[in-house]
Amino acid sequence: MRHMDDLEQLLHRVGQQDRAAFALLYERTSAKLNGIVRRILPEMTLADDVLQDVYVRIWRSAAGYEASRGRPVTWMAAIARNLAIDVRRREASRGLGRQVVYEPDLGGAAPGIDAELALALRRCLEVLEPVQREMIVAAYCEGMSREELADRHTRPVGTVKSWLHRGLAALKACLSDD
Amino acid sequence: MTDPMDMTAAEYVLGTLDADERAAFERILMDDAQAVAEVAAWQRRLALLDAIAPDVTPSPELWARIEAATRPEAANDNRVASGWRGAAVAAALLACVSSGLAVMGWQKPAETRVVTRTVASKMDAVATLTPEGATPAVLVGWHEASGRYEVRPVTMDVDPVHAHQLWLIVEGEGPRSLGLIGNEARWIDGRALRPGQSATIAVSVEPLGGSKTGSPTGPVIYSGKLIRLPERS
Repeated sequence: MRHMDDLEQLLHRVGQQDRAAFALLYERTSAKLNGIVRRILPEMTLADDVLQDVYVRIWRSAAGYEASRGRPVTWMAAIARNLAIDVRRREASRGLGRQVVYEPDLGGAAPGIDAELALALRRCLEVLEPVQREMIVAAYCEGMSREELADRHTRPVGTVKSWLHRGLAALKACLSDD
Repeated sequence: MTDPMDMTAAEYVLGTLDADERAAFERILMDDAQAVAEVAAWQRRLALLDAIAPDVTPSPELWARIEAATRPEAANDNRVASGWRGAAVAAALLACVSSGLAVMGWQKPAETRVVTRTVASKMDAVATLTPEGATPAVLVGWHEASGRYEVRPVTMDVDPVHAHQLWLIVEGEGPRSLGLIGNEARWIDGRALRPGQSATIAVSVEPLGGSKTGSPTGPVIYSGKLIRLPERS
């Protein structure tokens, strides 16, 4: 994505309900947000509905976006993940579990974020204990709940929670060393 | 040792809080700048995991659906507008409540009925707060007997970095704060802030915790005139 820096300007215009800017924003970001939604909902036909809701939400809340708090793509990705995870939890509560395991490519291309930060996060994820890293990545990328992680790793939910906390704390400590 | 609030923020970003924990934390986020900053820091720390998501082109018809879902529906607006002019105010209110909820798609129909019944039975005046020409975002009802405002967000989105502050503007006077609102229905004591015969209600975007000056400092995103409902027999 070559024009990531323009996204801030585009979002600002979308906040003023500029439809042309909205179309452009969709063109630039929909493949990425769709990828994020589909990591969480790979086998579900609901993914299109979720992506639609994501852009409706962006249209309505763009006026509240503030550049000082993060990049536009991070803000939009958070909306996409939240809505996709909501649907996933709802489906899980109806007994529709996840079948496809997502294999993240942590070394893959990472457009749209600060290269230095990407490098630091890669390095810090690598120094985590493998099980902690797997859980953090599976929770974030696949939208796994603590219960699902407990099933996958055949451990009690309480153990999962403390592993997650230890992993997150280690990640934070590692990143602030830089 | 790990700070519990920071871990909650981290799990909020990670997506592993359960529904109750998440709702509780979202209430904290509405007016706790520290919590908001922690969430932002975790989003930044984990941003790589968004960036490595593969690009997947959405199906070609999706954009048309999004366009339709975000376009202000002319037919719908007309129905609401004519309703205000006539006597069937409750019906119009039902129309805008249900159109709002249909867009959101997650409210139960049963709740819609409860909303309308409450609204139709006790309210003396009502304002639909909308951005220019769009679907109503917030409904505000004035209940004369109890001196209370009933606030029902319909399609307003929570903005974790700002507060949404509600204002009463009585004709000929400056704006007076009715307090902060979130995306949950609430009642506001308005015994000292009665709307009189002609008033406008507005929502402005303010720093977390609300305007420091006592007047709106940020943009007004929604507003609407408070309209007296006809006496009902």
